[in-house]
Amino acid sequence: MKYVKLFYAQCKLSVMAATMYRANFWLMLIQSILNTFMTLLSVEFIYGSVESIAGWSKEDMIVLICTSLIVNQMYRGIIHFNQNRFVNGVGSGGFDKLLLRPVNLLFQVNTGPIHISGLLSIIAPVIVLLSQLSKMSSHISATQISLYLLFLINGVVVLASFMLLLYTLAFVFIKVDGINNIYYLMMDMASKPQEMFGKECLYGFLWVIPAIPLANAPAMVLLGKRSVLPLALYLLIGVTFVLLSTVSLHTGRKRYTSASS
Amino acid sequence: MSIIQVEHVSKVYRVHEKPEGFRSAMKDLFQRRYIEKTAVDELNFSVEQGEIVGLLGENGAGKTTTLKMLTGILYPTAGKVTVAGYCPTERKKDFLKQISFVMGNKSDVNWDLPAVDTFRYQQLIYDVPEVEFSENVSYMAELLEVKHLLKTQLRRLSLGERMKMELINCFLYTPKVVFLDEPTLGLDLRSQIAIRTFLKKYRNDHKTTMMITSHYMDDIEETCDRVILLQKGQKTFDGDIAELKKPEMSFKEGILNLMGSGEKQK
Amino acid sequence: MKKYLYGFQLFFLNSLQYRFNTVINLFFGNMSLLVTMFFWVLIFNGDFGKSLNGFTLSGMITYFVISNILSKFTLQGSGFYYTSMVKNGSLGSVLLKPYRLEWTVYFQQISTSITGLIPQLLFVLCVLPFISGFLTWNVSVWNILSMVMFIVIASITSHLLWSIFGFMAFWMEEATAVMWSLAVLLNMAMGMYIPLDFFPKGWLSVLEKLPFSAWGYLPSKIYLGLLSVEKQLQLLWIHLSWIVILLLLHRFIWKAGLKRFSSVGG
Ligand SMILES: Nc1ncnc2c1ncn2[C@@H]1O[C@H](COP(=O)(O)OP(=O)(O)OP(=O)(O)O)[C@@H](O)[C@H]1O
Ligand SMILES: [Mg+2]
Repeated sequence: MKYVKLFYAQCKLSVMAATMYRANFWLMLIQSILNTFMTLLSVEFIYGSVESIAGWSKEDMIVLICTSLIVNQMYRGIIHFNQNRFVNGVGSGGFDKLLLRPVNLLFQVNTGPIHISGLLSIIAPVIVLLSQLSKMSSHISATQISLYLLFLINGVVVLASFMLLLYTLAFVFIKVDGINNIYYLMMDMASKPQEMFGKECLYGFLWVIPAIPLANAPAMVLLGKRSVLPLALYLLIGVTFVLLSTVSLHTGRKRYTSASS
Repeated sequence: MSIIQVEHVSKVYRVHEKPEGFRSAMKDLFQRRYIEKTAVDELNFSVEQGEIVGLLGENGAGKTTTLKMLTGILYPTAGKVTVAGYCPTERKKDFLKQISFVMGNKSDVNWDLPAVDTFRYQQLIYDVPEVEFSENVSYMAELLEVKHLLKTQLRRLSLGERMKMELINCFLYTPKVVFLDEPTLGLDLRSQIAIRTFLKKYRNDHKTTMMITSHYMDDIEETCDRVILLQKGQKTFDGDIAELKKPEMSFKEGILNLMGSGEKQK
Repeated sequence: MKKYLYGFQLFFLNSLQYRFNTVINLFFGNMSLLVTMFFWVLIFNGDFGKSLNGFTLSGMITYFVISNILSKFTLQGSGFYYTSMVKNGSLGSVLLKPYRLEWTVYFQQISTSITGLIPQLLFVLCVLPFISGFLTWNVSVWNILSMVMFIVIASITSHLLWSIFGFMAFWMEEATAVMWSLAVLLNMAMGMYIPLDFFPKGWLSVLEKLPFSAWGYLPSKIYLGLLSVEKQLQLLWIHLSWIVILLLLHRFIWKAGLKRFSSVGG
């Protein structure tokens, strides 16, 4: 309960601070809409010359891409910025402050000020997704929708924990901003159909580099496609990565030397 | 039992030796060389409840490192630290709610917001009841003479005013043990005096235990009951401040004398 | 020149210092090329005989490898150079220097681009053994020459156009944000997402005549031998005339911007 309140307070503070830089805020939003639009346009063009890609029709693909964009923007708006703050804090000594507060460390590392325009960028893919769904609404049940939302959240959790697991390398190497490239790569992979990873590497992209649980899993539930795994396993992947990142955070902390001030 | 207990505590930093020039950089690529730096060496002391202890020493003597180990930020390389009955690095919630660490030169507040908003957030983090919160804020704001500034954006405040806000922020939840690392760094005389008065008064009202480091001897002389002197990570003096206040020597001279004899001992 | 080399050496030393980060950057900064590659294998259903809009599978993969490398010669940096100069007010002092600013910026940006190309080429070299089977290798000498011509043109037109975008900073505060949006649009128009042949009928004949097509699409098509010599010559003239047009525009807007700069007082 306290954590919900803390999170809410952070949101309020960020909104208050963000209203001061309005112009940039709108332009960032436009940029993200353009980005969504261009990605969808290239899909449109590809499907101009093929009927389906590994069994994914154009409509399916749009659902997949929008899902990956939503997962991406939720992570970027709420978590990514704070994880980067944590990485910088490990280098500059700012991490001291987190250690002093009587609040769960994992929570502090992942949350904090909200990147408002990143979060608002969700609007574009959500609208496209809804309009796509309204076309297919006859086939979609309420269970599917709630499962979709569950797996969407699970996707964000997997992405956040996976990235944190990598960012905790900052305790060893200090400068690790190159890891951001892995994030971009993950998002690139997440928006592709899971068939791309081939049968041989499938388990690798579930358990080692978890690209499939991010967007493929929720999209699959929504589209009623046959899952490669029992559904509960996707949630298990989420739990596993949360545990791994927690362990890594607490192990890494022992190496933390703060900064000489 | 003493509220702070430090037994045989050491801290060794392992630093990567930065190579100079191009060729040694290439060599370094394959074989890193590290040097070990002992910042704190076999430290022993204890502090009783309600005491104010001054931690003195030259730059690099290991004062900040000691405070960071006492607050659980750093793991000691060896030895045992107990504060308020807890091991600091375990980060138990009850422990963290009892301590506070005032860092003179660091703060990660949101600069765009006024101080009250920061205090509200702090209230939430430390579960401070509303009554206690408003009492504490008005009591401290009055003592530090910043009542009229509570609603001003933090970035518009001067260094001294900001430091006072930081103090309020750190004392907001009535901690039992407070560590202050150079709380008067860069402040003018008036603010320095205000902060000293605040600390003394606060201790008398709340029986708070404090450890202070400062390079302004007046801070130490006026607020502390006891002084611990660190030299190159080792304790070379630990005693009542009265021992140093002699009629034939000023406090500063006394400290300088101590440092000299500490050097000779080695 | 010496100064540039020294800067490069410092950059290199810094990279060695943080070798983990350097390796990660090198390896993962370009990995998305492989993702694109496998996606197209999926789209073609792994069928090397099939052709979509004139592209075979290996042609398509080669297209993305080549256009990714060549797009480094698109000098976006020129635009951001001007915006930051206007914003931080250093433009005034640069204007006093005795050289033609636009060409100085051009060469500066080109050298940055070539530096940026090194890690990318290294990456391609690393993965080449694995992907060489997917690539097309038969190129004629003429096509290579023609490709180089187009790249030189691309670097000039992109420099001029992005500079013009950068001049927006004279009139508006948020020029950088607008430029990022433009970058997204232009990436599409230069065929970075997908070759222009996949666009609806009629779009190609317009887009290939715009300066952006030379920034990635045209040289890659020429490498693949998918553009007849006649067509190449015809487009060459069009793109050469873009240089003249953009040069004039560049001069004009620059003068207007300076006027505004001096009247506002920077
Ligand atoms: N994060 C670190 N990594 C490596 N060495 C460090 C680090 N922090 C401190 N040191 C070294 O440990 C020694 C003690 O530093 P410390 O900051 O505790 O000194 P101090 O007594 O607080 O000094 P000052 O009066 O200057 O604040 C110094 O020699 C310093 O160089
Ligand atoms: Mg210090």
